[in-house]
Amino acid sequence: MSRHLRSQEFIDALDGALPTDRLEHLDTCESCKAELSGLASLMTDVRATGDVPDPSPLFWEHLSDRVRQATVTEPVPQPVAWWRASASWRPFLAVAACAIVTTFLVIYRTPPHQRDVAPAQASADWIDDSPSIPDDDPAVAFMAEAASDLTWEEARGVNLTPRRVAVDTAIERMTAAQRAELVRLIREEQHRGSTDH
Amino acid sequence: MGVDNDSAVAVGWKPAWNLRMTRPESRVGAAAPADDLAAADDRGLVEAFLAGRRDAFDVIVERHRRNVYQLCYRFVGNHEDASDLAQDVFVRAFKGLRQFKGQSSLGTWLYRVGVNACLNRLAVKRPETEPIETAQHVDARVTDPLETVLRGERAAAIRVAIQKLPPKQRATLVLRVYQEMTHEEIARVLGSSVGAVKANFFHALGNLKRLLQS
Repeated sequence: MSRHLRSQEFIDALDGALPTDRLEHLDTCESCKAELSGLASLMTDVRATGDVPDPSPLFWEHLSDRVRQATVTEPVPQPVAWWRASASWRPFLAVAACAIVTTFLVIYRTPPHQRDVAPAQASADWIDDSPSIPDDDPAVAFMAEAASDLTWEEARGVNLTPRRVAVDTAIERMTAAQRAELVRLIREEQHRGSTDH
Repeated sequence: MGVDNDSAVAVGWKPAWNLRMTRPESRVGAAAPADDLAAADDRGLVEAFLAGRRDAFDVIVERHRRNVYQLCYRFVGNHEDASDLAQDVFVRAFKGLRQFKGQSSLGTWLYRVGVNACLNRLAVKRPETEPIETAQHVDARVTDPLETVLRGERAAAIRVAIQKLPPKQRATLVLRVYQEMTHEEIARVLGSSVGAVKANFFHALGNLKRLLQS
């Protein structure tokens, strides 16, 4: 004999939604049959007690009035703005913001004479893989101008700094050559910082 | 059904119905709602309310007050508490309607608000005495006096036993048996899985059986 019905299967049986193989068990199992019969009978009894006595016909308007009075001083809630309605896009925005800020920091903090120099072999893949940025793109021009004087502290002040996880993820996705280039840029930046002082 | 998502409200999505959306006047009196609201569906009413029309909420209350009251009554078993709870449900709904996701009907959402309000009430106030207005439940169709008494006693015993069920089991039983909601709808209202709803229902019936036997 197959196993007895489980609790959820009893509820399915009450709803007439028990699978055929379990119905076969139910047909042959007196224990499950008795349990199901008891549950069905109890449900019938419970259902019979479900009538809610009608309140006075005046009650409904009275209830509406009470609700109206209780909410009259409440401001009507404004709909949730679309940028607050869903947080699902926020990680993408954070990564995009990190990418933009990092790009401009790298570009504008690299001395012009080094920008013109042919990149090292190690960075060739990085540059080749990067999407080309059209010079005449007004959006890029706007962002470049807006971010040209942006310092790290300022970026942090307006919450444009990358999250730790986002930076880690970005670094993990780099190729060895890209990492090498990143290390070179960081060292170069550190060296320049120490000579500035 | 309800609004597809809240973002539709905020991004300027234009509804198909013809509503004047700019009438944010305060309205305390019980004047009849405008015809456009009376004809609007629940989705339209929510949109109109969030656009500043308080009278749209009056129509929402008018449409759903009976169901909300009955739900509350089945939880608490008496008119006074059910009346207070129903008011509380609508006040909560007023304040929280902007969080209505529209993934279910407004009625289901109100049930959810109602069940939460009822569960909160049960958490702070246990029934001190038998809360059932038994006298109003006598089945007048039964002519045999003895049978009338026996049925009345059985019904009263069941109502008392239901009041003693753990809150989640009581909520599941009320929504399934009295409100005749599907397991899926109950799962949405209670914020649980369908499997948990079925298990809760089974245990509710089992506990009810034990309580009645004792």
